[in-house]
Amino acid sequence: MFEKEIYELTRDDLDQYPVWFFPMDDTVDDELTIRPFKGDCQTNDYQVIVRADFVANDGTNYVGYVYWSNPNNIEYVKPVLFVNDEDCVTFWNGMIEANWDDYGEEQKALRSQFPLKYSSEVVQGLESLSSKLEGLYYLDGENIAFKS
Amino acid sequence: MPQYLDEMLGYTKKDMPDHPATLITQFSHTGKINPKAMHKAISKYLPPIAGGKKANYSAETIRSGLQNAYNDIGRPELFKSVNNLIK
Repeated sequence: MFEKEIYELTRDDLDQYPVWFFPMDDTVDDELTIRPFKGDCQTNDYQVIVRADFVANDGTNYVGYVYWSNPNNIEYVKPVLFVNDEDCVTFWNGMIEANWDDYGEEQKALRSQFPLKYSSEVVQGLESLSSKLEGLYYLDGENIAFKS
Repeated sequence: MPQYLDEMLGYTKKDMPDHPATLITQFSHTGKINPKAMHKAISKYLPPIAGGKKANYSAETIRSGLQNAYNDIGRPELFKSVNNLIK
């Protein structure tokens, strides 16, 4: 059975399968294991990620994914963008203060491309989620802050 | 206690069956339209990827994140049941 840990996912994996789910059962290593999902997402309550298109302010296109969620707040959708096949930028960073110094030069180049707009694909029963990103988001106490 | 956080705390697969667990529906566990789904709440504070790579949290961050998450979903007793394991 084809599966990966979420942090091992590549852009090529997303090209092959637009929707991945977290089985979170006894058949997987832990809660971060994902498998391609091929059915109708409306018929289950799995947490799924879905391929998304990102467009920078200069028109550059990128591929990434979001956690499909309703409500579609940034802390639930947690957008991830790939700058190449393996290296990504995570726009939601939870309790850890976001820091561009965590990234390489290719990822840091995004700083001049905000705002970024994203739209997830309409696929397998999932509606598109779309919004605009202004930087790297994180929790600053109880408030959501970002660094552009 | 999510296993991926257990692992960050140094516990092995052998240790984990002895850790407290709870029975909940899939909707409450991971429901994508449920704003109070457990893993949605936990990953708000402790996302599995941060800074572009696999996250690795300190015990203190895990403690704070789980306490907030379980409070958010109205299940503070779940935090009390695992607090002693976070060290």
